[in-house]
Formats: sequence, C-alpha cells, structure tokens
Amino acid sequence: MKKIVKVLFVLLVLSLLVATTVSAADEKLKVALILPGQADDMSFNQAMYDAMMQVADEYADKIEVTVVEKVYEVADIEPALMDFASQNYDIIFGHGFQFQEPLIAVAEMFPETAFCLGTGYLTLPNTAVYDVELDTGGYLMGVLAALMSETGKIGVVGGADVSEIFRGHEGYKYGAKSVNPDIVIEEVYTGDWNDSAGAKEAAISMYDDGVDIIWHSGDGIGLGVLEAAKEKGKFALGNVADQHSLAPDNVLSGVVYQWAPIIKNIIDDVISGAFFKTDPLFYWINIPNDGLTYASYYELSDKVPAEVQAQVEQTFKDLKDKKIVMPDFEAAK
Amino acid sequence: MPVSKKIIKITQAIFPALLMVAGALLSGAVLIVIAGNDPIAAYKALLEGAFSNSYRISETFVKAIPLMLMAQGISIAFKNQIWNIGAGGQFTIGTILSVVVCLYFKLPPIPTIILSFIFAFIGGALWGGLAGWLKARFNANEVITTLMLDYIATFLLAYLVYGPMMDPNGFGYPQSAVIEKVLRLPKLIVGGRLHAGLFVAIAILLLMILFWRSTLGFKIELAGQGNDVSRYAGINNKKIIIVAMLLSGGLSGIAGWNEIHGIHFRLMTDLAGSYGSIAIVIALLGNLNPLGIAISAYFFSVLIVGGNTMQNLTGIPYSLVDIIQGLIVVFVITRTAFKAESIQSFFRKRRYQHNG
Repeated sequence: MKKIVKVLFVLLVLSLLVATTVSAADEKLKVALILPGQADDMSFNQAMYDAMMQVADEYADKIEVTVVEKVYEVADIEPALMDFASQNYDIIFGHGFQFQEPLIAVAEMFPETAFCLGTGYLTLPNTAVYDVELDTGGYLMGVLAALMSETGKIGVVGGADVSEIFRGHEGYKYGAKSVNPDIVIEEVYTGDWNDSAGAKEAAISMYDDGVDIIWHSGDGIGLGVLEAAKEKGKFALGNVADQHSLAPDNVLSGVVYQWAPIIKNIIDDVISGAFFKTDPLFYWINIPNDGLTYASYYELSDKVPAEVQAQVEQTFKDLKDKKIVMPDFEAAK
Repeated sequence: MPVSKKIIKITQAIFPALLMVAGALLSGAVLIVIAGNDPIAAYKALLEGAFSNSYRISETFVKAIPLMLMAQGISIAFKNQIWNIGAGGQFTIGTILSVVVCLYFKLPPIPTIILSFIFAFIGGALWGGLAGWLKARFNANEVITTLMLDYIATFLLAYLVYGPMMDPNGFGYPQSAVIEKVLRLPKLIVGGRLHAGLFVAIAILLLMILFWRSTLGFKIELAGQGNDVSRYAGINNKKIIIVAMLLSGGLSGIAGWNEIHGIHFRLMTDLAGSYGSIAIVIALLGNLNPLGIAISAYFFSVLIVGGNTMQNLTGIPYSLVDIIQGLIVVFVITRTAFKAESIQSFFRKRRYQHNG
C-alpha cells in the first residue's frame, strides 16, 4: 500500500514537472506596440499596425501582441513604456523618433526587455532602431514619374530635410534622370511633417507650373499633396502606406513600407539572443530585403502604358538584385 | 462657532464641485453600460491605473504640476472676466525661453536655472499681456487674440526646432539639443519622474492663496464685477486687465519652465499638447479658488494617468476619460449659466419690488 502511494506520489511530481516545463516552452513572447497616432491613418501608423497584425497571425505560436494607439502627448510616452515594461512584456515598440529619450530612459531600468525605436539614433544593448532606406523607393518613383510625365516636369514634396527623407528625394531625382536626363524636377520641403495645408499649396503651385506628377515622401503632408492632385485632376505618387483609396483617380502608385519582415527579424533575434549586443543595432527596410514595395495601379492600370509598367517592374527587380548603384548622396550634400 | 462656520463654508464651496464630478462619473457609467461594458470594472481599472504602484502615483503628481500652474494662471484672468484661452501658447513661450537660456547663455548652473525661470515667467507674461494690452487699448476680443497667439507660439516652436534651434548632433530630427544634466530638477523618487518642481508648484499655490488676499488680487476680482463697480471704486480698469493677463500668462510660462527642467529637457514640437484646454476646465471646476484648483488639477491628472494605463493594460479605450472630461465641462457650464440666471432673476425681483 505504502509503495503504491509512493509511486503515485512520484508520478504526480513527475507529471507536475512535465506540465510546468511544457507550459514554460509554450510561453509566448509578449509584444507591445505603441503608436503615436491613429492605427487607421493611411500612413505612418497604419503601415506599422498592419504589419504587426500580419506578424501576430504568422507568429501566432510565438508572440502575443498588444497595440496602443493615439499616444499623442510626448509627456505620456514614458508612462506608457513603463506600463508595458513593468508588466513583463518582452518586446516593446515605440513608433516614432519622439519615443527616443523616454525609451532609452525606461530601457536602462529594464535591461532584460527588448525595446525597438521607430527611427532615431540612440541605442543601448537592449534597444534597436528600425528605419527605412528610402533611396531605393525614391529611385523607383523617379523612374515611374519620369516615364509618365508628358510635360517633362515632375515634382517631389517632403516634410523635413531629415537624412532618410533627403536620401529618398535624391534617389527620386537620380531615378528620374536615369530615364530622362533633361527632366525638370521641382522640389519642396515644407519643414513640417504635419503641415498638410502648406504641402497642398506647394503641390498646387507645382501643378500650375506644368508639373504633371508629384511624389510625396511624408505623412501628414502627403494628404495635402493628394488633395491638390484631386483638385487639379493630376497624378500623385504615395508613400508609406498604399494610399489608393484616398484618391482613386489620382494616386497612380506609391512606395509601400513593409515592416513585417523586419518585425519578424527582430522577434527571431530576441528569441535567439542576438538582439542583446553592445554594438548599435539597426534594422533597415529597403527594396532588396522586401521592406519596400510599390502599390498597384488599380483602375489606373490602363492609363499606364504596358512598356512603362514593364520598365518599372524591371527597375524594381534590378533594385532588388542590387544591380542599380546609387552614389552616396549624404556625402555629396 | 467660527470653526463650524468655516466648515460649513468649505462644504458649501466644495459641494457643487463634488456634485458635478459625481454627476459626470454617473452619466459616464450609464454610457459605459449602454456601450455594453461594466462600469465598475472600468472605474476600478482607472483607479488601479493611477495608484497601483509608486511609479503611477508619482505620475499623477508629475501631470498635476503643470496643469495646476496653468489653471492658477487662468483663474487670475477669469476672475477679471477676461477669457484667456491661450494658456497653451503662454506655456510654449515659457518652454522656448527656458531652453534658450539653458543652451545659449553659458552661465554657471544656479544663475542659469534662476534666469531660465525669470525668462519663462516674463515670456509667458508678455504673451498673455499682449492679449491684455490689445483688449485694453483696442477692445480686441481676448478669446480670439489669445487663441491666435496660441497658434503663433505653436508655429514659432515648430520653426525653431526645424530651423535655428535644431540639435546640430541630432541627425536632423525636429528637436533642440538637451539641456545639461546639472540644469535638470532633481528627482524625488527612484525610477519615477517626480521632480523638485513639486515644491515650486506648492510655493505658487501658497502665493496664490496670499495673492487673492492682497490689494492687487482684490482689485482684479473687483474689476471683474463690471466697469461701473470698478470705476466707482476708483480702479483703472485698463491697467488691471493688462496686469491680470501678465500674471495669468506668467504662471503658464512657469509651467513651461517646469516641464523643460523636470520632464522633457529639450524642445520638440507640440509640447503643450492639450494642457491649455484641460487647465481651463480645472480652473472652472476648482471654482477659481487656489485650493479648489489644486484639488481639481490632481483629480484630472488621476483621470489622465489612470485612463492611459487603463487603456494600455485592459484595452478599455481612453475615450472614457474624454467623455468624463466632456461631461464635467457640460456641468460646469450649466452651473455658470444657472448662477448668471439666478443673479439676473434676483435683480429683476428687486426692481419689481422697487417699482412697487
């Protein structure tokens, strides 16, 4: 009798042990994404939100995602980061450069937690920056714009002359000139990412000046450019998210940010431990690593001649295969 | 007897505010039920969000400091019946001048902090005083001028951080360089953000209590009763309007100083956020009384901090807090309208009696 009890007891303990180890292996990474704006803004926030949702599906057995949107006030960022860090979240994404100082401050207090900063330049061993290499995307848009322009004048409107935006613009000009060396390119930086009224004014004066297609490289300002295109009945090229639905008759195509591959890289690196290293860690999206694609022409497809479509597709492939080499724009600045 | 009288007086002062808050919370609860959620769970999450650990408790004070300073400033203008709705702009000018002093004056730490404080006060004061002067000189509606000056301050800040004040080592991001570590206000708790600005806030609170007992405070209040009253009392109304707006803006400037030295350490766009409008509600809920304002500022920061955490951790949307805030505004306006109505009807009655 005693023996049976003993055996049963051992079995019980063993099963408990197995149960706990199994549940430990089952434990998913807790991932939090903090967005500074609305998740459906058709731009900066939405591109990240959609990508995170896609990864949450694909990695359903590895991660559990919580998203918070509309953290508008800079003063509220640190408490939001603290909320998640203190609840033992494993990876926390702060989507925007304004997260930099609070993210670094909180990351210092939680060295076991992985923090990811959406654009910025400061890093710690447990933080990384994810950002976009826009020059390849700009190049592709430049090629498309130059091929589609009938007047030989194209435009580009950007927010601030910040490194990445600057490289995107230079790529755009370089791409356009590769197709048509004589093309006239008008360029405006509004100086403010949210100044959609200023961007609209700039775009309208470009269209009035004979420009017949404009690419924008911004967030809030992009909406102004699309408004202008609608008003003037001209073409515009989007950026960040697929902006077709905002102006179906005017948005010809656009650069689309695909954060999903990078998010997966980050999660894999956190699991493998490669994330936690002392060298500054940057994750870039670009055309070669599938981080940048271009939006479909949708119903405007018949307005784009087949040979233009073919040439754009070829350019995209060449950029992907790194067959197109661009100069170091930053150095030439 | 005087003690019990005092208690009655205090209850009379606090009771309407409590009633309004209770009304807002109850109507909020009804809306939560209609939306198909459990109001008790929501409010519990909100309270937990504000008080469940030391970091969050410290955050409730961190938020309350600038809100209270701005609301105290607003109360000076409001008592004078000047509707200063541009506290956010006066705050912004305060932040700009603080950072300018810290980055470019190259003085030893202590003089820098003091000068930064003075500049922030003067900057905010001039920004408010300008609207006061326009009112006194040209009878320009202060609701419009303060609102417009608010925009100008916001765009000035944007221009500075995208232009001349952009951090030269900041890779082109729209922000200024950070102020040196020695210029930052010391933290009061480990790990949290609560800083020595709390003492500045308490000092200002005490000053405000004294201020309303001073001749100037009395004059400002009296001038707010109407032109005839003040003229009868021999008060220069125009001068009082400018002085009230100078002080009103100055306190918001100090709130800006406080946020730079205690929280942000640098300029970025839109630092004022929605503080300007929340501070108006706080001033009105506090019945323009210094202590009442302090209490309602703390109440609002509990709502904000608790609401944010509630949204982060339970997924109950922050809109709940917006709704409660909105309802309080409705109740405050109702009370003001009701008061005005009852005063008018009182006078009407008197006149009838007089006519006989």
